[in-house]
Amino acid sequence: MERWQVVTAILVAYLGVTLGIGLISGRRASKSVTGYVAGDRDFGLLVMYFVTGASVFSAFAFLGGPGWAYSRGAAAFYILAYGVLGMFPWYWVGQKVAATGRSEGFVTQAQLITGRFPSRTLSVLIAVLSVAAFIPYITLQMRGAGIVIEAVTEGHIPLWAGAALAYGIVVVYVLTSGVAAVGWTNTFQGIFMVAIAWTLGLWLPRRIYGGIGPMFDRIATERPELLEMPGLTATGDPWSWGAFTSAILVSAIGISMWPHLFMKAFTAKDARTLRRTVMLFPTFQLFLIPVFLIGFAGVFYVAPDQLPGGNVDFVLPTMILQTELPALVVGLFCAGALSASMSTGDALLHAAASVTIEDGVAPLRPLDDRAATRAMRVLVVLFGVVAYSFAVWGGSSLVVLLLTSYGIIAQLAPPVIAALYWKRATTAGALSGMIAGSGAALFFYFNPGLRILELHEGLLGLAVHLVVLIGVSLATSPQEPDHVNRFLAPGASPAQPEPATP
Amino acid sequence: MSLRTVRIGAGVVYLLALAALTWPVLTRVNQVEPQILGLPFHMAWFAGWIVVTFVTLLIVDRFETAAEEEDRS
Repeated sequence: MERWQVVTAILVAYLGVTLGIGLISGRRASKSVTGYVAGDRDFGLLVMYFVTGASVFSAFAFLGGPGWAYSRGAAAFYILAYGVLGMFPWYWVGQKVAATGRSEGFVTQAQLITGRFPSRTLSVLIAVLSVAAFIPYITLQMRGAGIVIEAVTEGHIPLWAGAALAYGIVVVYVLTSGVAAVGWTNTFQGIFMVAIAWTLGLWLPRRIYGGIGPMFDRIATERPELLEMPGLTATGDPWSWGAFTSAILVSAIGISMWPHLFMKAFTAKDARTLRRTVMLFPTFQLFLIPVFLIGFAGVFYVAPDQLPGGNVDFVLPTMILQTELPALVVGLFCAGALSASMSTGDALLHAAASVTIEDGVAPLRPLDDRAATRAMRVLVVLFGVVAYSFAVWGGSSLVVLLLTSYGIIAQLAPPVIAALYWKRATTAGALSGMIAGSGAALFFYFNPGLRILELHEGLLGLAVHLVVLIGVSLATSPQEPDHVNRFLAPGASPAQPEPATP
Repeated sequence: MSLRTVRIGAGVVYLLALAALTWPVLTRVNQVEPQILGLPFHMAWFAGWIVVTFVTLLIVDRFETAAEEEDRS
């Protein structure tokens, strides 16, 4: 048997195991109506840890991260910064979100925002924005899976077929077993990814350069521009500080606003579990270090023309395949990268469909449980197909896709913070801020030449968003103090039984 | 130390991290030497701040959990 066939056999076995875990855990949980909630309660800290880690770290970390370190050098460091800066405030904000969720019975982000700022338009707008942000994110995961499979099989299974295969499996287990599968497969995949990334990140520089220090010495001597912050652009020119810093800020603001992460505040067993998950989050950021080391190790090891189509996202699998590592290790590694893609992809597909139903459709036209479940399944497939077509025909690198989606999702931060912390905010302010902010982000996305200091379009959108939110809120009459207090101090006074405002 | 002091302290650490990991402070640490555990200095700078925030949250969590248990009893 040829080497690539052994590796492919391992990948197939891995996909089989993933599918099996997904289906079995789903069957177990679906016996009770509260399968999802009970399943969540089963999650101890360790499981919760890997669930969070695996859904945050995606194909982007495994392929996009090394690709950036390899081609853009120090520019990749922005990825080290934003996770920590974004999650730290969530230690407290998350608790407040959870408390409000408990006292008001919210299960989605839009319910929290429109609870404080009653507006069906706002709810639908949030659903639309969330889906708009999810699509590039899912596209990224799919393309990542396709890249791994194409590289491993030496092109025998091209990107389009590999992505279709991996995501066919993801869709099947999301459809059959819902969230329970997402939890358990993530744990399995998370453990796998962390172990393999550290092993290779420490081993490869030693194997190729005789150590991490000597590797960076050589890069500093022969390619000093790679180690000069803020690194390079995709075309090899120096990147600007404005773009670097605003990439950090937009991603930091956006990270906790992702609906699939945000909603964890509503489902976490108690405040303590939620806090601990946030507390342990920086340890996942450290996991990026070995991933970057792998990318830097490729600088003198892989020539750009060895990468299929010159796509730098291929650097990691290409390197692994060129080492004389046993086929078994290569296979396991590629399974790790594949799992990174799939464990995020499943959570994203599930969340995109839930948000569309809960926030986009339900406020306009209430659905019964069966209709909602059916509609969700249709949407999972639909979003899968849309993202797939972008994955196969689109052109941007994985990190660029990610940054675009962060710019969109960051627009959810001002209304969330205003809802929980600013008593003077009004519905008109929140709604007009959201429209103006998203509009501005969209405008600068299509007119990159007009961006001030090359700032990220999402950050420019946020600036407009804040000005409009504050200005319009102050110009309109304040909300009832009783209503406001339910959000600023949740659970402080006994909740008044009130008719629910949709 | 009271919970309030700890929270304010954590806020200060956060602001320091925010400054340390963005322009213009980054321009001052934009160097490869000295290497730390083999990593170039600026990469170790990022890694170091991740460790600092982790340790800060670890301490904060101790106090928050203790205060929560006091509330309950």
